[in-house]
Amino acid sequence: MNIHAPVRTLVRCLAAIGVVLSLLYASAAPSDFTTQSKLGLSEVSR
Amino acid sequence: MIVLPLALGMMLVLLTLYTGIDGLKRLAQLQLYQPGLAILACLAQAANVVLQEGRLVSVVLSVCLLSTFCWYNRARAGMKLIVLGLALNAAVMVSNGGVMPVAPDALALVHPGPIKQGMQLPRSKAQVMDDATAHLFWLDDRLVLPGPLAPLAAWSLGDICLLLGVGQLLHSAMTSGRIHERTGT
Repeated sequence: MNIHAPVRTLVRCLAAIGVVLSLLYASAAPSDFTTQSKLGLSEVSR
Repeated sequence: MIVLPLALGMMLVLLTLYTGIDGLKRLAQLQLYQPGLAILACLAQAANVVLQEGRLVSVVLSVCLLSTFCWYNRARAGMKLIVLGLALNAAVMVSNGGVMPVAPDALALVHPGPIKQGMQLPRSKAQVMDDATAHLFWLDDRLVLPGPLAPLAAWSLGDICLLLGVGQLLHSAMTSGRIHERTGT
């Protein structure tokens, strides 16, 4: 049984998803709850 | 910002339910040119988030890298929306010194604790700014999902465009060839 083809497909799929996720992380900037609830808010002097 | 992989994961689950496993196989055939540019841009923004120094430089650098990436892939479905979202977010972040302003009212729906003007959200690009302080405030993080999903995150108009563009890109990639399969051409 040749497992190389499915593994290759999986790797390529994950690579495509990784690039798209990188694009989102680089361009999008939502303020999400995980940031605040886990690390708390800090005050910055302006 | 775990909400971004959550949103991407949700899109992939929905599209996979629609297209089946063949959709994932077609996704594996998606060829994005110069993927390293997107990864470098992500690293530049990571530096922005972690170091919280040189934020404007990080934003400008990542915008240049992403613009080049989008140019190379301009023929891909969804790229126009992605470029629009990138431009909207870049405009508001550059005009506010490299940070993404978040409206206090919107953040109050996401975070139950005290909120003060000027608060920097750690491990984030965001800073609390009211409409009188933020430049291009209508483009900042002020949009929340309805009902019980509101605490997930505060979004900007640029974020919405980006997610729609990415959705269109994934849909196109995962359904390409499916029409031909149906018609037998």
